[in-house]
Amino acid sequence: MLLNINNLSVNLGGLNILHDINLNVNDREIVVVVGANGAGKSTLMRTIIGLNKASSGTILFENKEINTLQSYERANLGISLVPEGRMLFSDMTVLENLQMGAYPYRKNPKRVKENLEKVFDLFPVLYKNQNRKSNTFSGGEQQMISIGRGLMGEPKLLMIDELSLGLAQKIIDLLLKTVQKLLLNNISVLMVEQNVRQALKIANRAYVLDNGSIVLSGSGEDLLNNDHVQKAYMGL
Amino acid sequence: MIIMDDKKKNLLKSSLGVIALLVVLLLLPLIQTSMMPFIMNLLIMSFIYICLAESWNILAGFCGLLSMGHCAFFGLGAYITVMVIIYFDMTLLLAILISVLFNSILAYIIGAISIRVKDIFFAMVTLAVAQLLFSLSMQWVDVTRGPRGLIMPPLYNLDRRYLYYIALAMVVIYVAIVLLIRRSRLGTMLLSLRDNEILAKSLGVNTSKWKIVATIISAVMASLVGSFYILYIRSVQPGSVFTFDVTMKIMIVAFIGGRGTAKGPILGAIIIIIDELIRGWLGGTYAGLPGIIYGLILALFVVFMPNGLISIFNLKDKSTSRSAPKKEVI
Amino acid sequence: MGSLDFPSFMTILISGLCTGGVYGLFSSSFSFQLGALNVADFSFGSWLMLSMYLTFFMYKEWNIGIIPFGVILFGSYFIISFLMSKFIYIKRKTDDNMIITMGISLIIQNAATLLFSSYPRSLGIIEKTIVVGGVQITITKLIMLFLSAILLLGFQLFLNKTWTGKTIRAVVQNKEVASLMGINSNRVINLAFSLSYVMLAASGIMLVTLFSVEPTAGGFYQMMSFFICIIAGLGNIRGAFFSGLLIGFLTAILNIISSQFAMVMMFLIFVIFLVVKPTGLFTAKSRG
Repeated sequence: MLLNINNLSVNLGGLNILHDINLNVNDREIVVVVGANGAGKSTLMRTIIGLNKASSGTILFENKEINTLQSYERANLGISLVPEGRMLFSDMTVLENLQMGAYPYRKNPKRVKENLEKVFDLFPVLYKNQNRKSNTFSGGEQQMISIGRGLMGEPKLLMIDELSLGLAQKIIDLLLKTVQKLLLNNISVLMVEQNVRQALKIANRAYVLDNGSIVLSGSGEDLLNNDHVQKAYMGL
Repeated sequence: MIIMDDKKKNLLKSSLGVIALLVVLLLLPLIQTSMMPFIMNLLIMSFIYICLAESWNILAGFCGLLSMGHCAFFGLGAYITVMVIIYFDMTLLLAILISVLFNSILAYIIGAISIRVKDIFFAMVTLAVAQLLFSLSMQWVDVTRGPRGLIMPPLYNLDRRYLYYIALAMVVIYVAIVLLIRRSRLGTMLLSLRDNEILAKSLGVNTSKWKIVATIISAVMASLVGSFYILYIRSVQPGSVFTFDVTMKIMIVAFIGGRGTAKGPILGAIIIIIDELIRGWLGGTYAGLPGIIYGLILALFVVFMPNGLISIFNLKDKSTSRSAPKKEVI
Repeated sequence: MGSLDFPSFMTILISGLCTGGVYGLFSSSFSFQLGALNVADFSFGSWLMLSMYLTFFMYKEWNIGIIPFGVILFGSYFIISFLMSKFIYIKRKTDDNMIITMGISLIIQNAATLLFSSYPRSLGIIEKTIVVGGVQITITKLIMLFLSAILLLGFQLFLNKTWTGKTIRAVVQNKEVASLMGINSNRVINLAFSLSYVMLAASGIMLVTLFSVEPTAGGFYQMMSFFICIIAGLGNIRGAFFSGLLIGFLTAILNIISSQFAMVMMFLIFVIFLVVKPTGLFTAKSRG
């Protein structure tokens, strides 16, 4: 098992954001967490990478407890987070942004180059504009840079926070297809999404997060056909 | 009900202590010994710095604004008071009023240009104003007589004992003012600004306006101390009021006692007594040594005892009365 | 002012420009600390003053060459500031840091008074000048101008081209996101802070060739660097160099008008500037 979360609770500023979360991600699997705004999805991601502290419970990555590690140490173990809102280094070029993702093995230029080529294969549009400042790109392209930057860290687990936020349908389709391709490279994906229907379609398994607790879980297909999910999140 | 009783008991205990201290300080000048002038000087100097620290605390404690040039308000108060008396031959009261007016304007300008930008601006701008006033008072020899400074005309030669009582009264009033502000709407407002400026802004509080008001109050308080200073010392030089030494002492008194508290500076004033004793003892030799010690004290207090000496007393309060509610400093 | 002929006027202006270059150098380093690293360092001026003193004693009394001296000075400034950043500044709030650095500044300034006395020290270099059309240009000053420009250019190149430099820029922009890349953000900030101190030490060496030094000099330079980096726009390193030149220029002009009130006028200009354009002159060029 790649990621294993047991009884995780998180308090932020006296507020109980997450309680008693149990969640796992296996090798070569896309896991989606859906839920309404403010359900605690982003907090879950931030806690896994270590930007927020867990108040109780354990997080195991490849069967090793990582609770006490700093976020940069977790990143070095092979967890990448593509943060909500892209969060690119705006005064840097595309190339520089991608290079920052390769920080852990920066002293190996060959490896950096190989991974750059992989990312450019996934997103050819970035290759053509690699020397342009990242803040001059459209939202979809920025999301590509952000995912690419996450992939540069050679993650075993790629976490994506709100992939589809503010993007056009065509681009969302393209990005989701790319995400599916990642499984071939032995990368597991953990996504949180508000765009429930599409996310569930590509998910192997999924969880429904409501008000800080997991209320439902199952295969992507099961949840797609679940009454509660349809009513609450897909407006059917 | 039990909580109320404990609260009352604590209040009674602390007010008894305050009254006892006041009685001792009131009766002290009546004792006739040859040491008396020396002791009174020590106490008056401490009173001056307590008052200045109270005024500094309004900004640091309520607004989170660090005034790194508080000596500017103090020194300007002293200079303008004596200048108005010398050059325009006005009465003392009028002179004090005019210095207060000047300081309010200065405080308004400082507040208006620095508060809306970033907190460090306030620190830097106040520091710069103090340095500016220092160089102005040094260079503008025609008016300020440069480094030699100005001397108060002998007309206002008050007895040391009166001055002692005036200073003591100022301390009582200043402590009361800070306590009052704390309990007033202004105090609540300022504290809410300090703790959560974004929230206060979103609630429609004009944060800059209240900070400027606080700056003016603080400047006026420091200005009055400056006016008292010129009455007591009878002369003023750039080096004695506009140097960072003065600001540093104000900050040390406030910090050692407890930043942002009304009673803290009274405890912190002990450093002024020690300072006067050390300076008298060294007598100009080892220049710089006291400064090194104060620098160390300042840095070490922030690191190891950020809430000052008063935190020891508050801790004791908590441990003696088990059911006492969470005690707020101030 | 009427008695001043054009060549002497130019002489003063060029000299002002050259000193402005050194101002620009230490102000850039201050701007980097304040704007980019968010450390409000009030001991900055005192460390600059100390570097000036040490250079003075190196030259006059210690008889060690400039290169070993530079290595020792830069090394010790680097280590001291790294430790200060790591154990003190990075963990605390801005206002606590202001007070702590103020305390450190007091310690340095008074230690200088105690050890070196408050008497101003000057290297007293006999200045070689070249004369172009009646305008005198001091060679030392000219060298200092170029040296500071080169040092800053080097620093910019370092930030833009090297891995470490890029990492610093990433951390400065967003500490959290940088840590997602596996970057130990706190360590990078400590490192960047130390680098700004090495620049500071270098400015001290250069400054003492131009001006005399006394224990209180730090306060003046601290204020100057604050003015300069506000005028440039906080955190704008290149802008700080140019506004350093501008201030050097301005100081020279103000000194011609009235040397007595040059500082006062400078301050008034600064206040007016803060009212009119508090965001700085060069902000448009900085990152968006």
